[in-house]
Amino acid sequence: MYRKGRISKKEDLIVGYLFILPDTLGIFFFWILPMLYIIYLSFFRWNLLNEPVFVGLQNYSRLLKDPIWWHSLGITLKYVLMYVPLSFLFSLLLAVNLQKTFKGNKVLRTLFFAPYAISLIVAGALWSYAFQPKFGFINHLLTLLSLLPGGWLSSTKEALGVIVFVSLWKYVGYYMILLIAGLEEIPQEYYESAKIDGASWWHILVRITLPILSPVILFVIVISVIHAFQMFDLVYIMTYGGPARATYITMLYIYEVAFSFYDFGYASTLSIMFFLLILLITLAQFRLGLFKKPS
Amino acid sequence: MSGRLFAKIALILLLGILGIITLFPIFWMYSSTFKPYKEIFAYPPTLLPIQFTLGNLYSSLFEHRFLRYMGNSLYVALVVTLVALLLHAMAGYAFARLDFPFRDTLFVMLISTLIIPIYSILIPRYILVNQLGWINTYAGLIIPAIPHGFGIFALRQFLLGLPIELEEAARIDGASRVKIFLLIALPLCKTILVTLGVIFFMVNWDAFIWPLVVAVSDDLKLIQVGLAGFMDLQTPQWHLLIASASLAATPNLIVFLLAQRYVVQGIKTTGLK
Repeated sequence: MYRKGRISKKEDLIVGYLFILPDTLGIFFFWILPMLYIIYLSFFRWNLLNEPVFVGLQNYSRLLKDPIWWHSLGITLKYVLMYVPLSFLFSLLLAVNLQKTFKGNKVLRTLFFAPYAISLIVAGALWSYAFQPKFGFINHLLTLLSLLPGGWLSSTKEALGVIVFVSLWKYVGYYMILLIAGLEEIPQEYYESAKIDGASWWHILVRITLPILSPVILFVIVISVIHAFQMFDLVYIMTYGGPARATYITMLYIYEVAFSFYDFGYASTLSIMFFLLILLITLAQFRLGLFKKPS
Repeated sequence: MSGRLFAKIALILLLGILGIITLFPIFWMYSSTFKPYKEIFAYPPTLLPIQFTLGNLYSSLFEHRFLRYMGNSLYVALVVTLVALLLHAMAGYAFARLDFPFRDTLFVMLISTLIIPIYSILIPRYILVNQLGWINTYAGLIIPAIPHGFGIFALRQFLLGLPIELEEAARIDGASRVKIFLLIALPLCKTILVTLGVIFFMVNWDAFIWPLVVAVSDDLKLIQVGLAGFMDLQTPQWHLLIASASLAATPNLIVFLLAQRYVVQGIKTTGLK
């Protein structure tokens, strides 16, 4: 391809390095270096004002005995276990029904997808208002339907559920778009021949759609697990971990240790352990494959 | 047959109702924006404002500095988007079309950073930016938000999928690499550039945790951080909170409605590669 001799090769070399230089420097400085730096930080106690103090593995042993860390992990897992199955179920139901071509299916997709354009902070603000026990529309609707109104964000039992609900509202449309993209790749002949054989819709779903879709399904579940573990904005704006630490997720704990208690060494240790946990779970998901490949 | 048709119509109706319910909170937010203070707390709540007011918006924009926050967010999001597009296009072009030592090794190295989640490096990045003296500056808000492996990857893949003949012809005519990049390759990348641009803008307009820690001074607050500020109070001022939420939501909703095709395209390239 480069048969113009030495001059063009030299030009390629110079232009090539110049073109990748800004991004390479940026990625090194803002992604790779922090990744290495955080490991170093985790062996120190440092509030950014005084000199950093080397403490060896103290931060790590502190973490093992830290009840708030374990509490926050428990809340995070609870949130993940509620969010991931529900987000998958709803997005699959919507995708399967909206993938079909009928008049208005594009409009319907847009309706479900639109909340994705709303930031988590805005979503948190407007749903906090809607869930206000005294004047929010949720309790008003429940009363109209003769159901019991809830305390929602002020209730230790309900607050985490409200946050799961709002996350679903924001992200289900996004997963739906991914699943529809996967469904559109399935050749129509598969469905036609299955219909000729007289297969029921359940049979088609379990025997054709899900197996062929399995790589996309795996991807959607992995993404939703990552979304769930990283949730910060909604908790920050809707409950700030309350009431009585009922929504005190790990991300908020790490944030507070760093930016409220200025304990950057310990916060780094927490970050590393949390990252390793998510990495392990993600790898396990790929390993399990979740669904079998189509035969 | 008519039973099936009926079932189909029932399903579409059900989906339609669900879709409208999904959008209802957004409608509610805009409706409440124009309600006077008293009506915000009315029970039962009113669907549309009985008494229409622009007071909440006015107070949010001018008395609570949301005009400033919106300006900050617009500035940061636009600069990040435009600079990122140019730098990623340059890098993507070099990785796709130019031949230089360690090209593929460097590419793999840059792309492998995609597995690093931003939250896990928040603290060291904050300390590095602090050492640069960029806390409470636009530089601290803008520069760390630019480098990212995804844009480079997407542009390289896009260029690899384009026929090379046009560029080869220009090459034979003696055009330089830089000229070919600017005059031939860049215009051909229009679709992917628009797609990435839409995504970058929306992501940066919505950015929260980084602006929260890096820009503490009120002059530099971005819109999402400013909005969250209303909730910090013991008793939130709901009328201002809702009006400000509308302001924070509107630009991305407009972008979304105008460029939905590109948003979907962007999600598919992020997702299914």
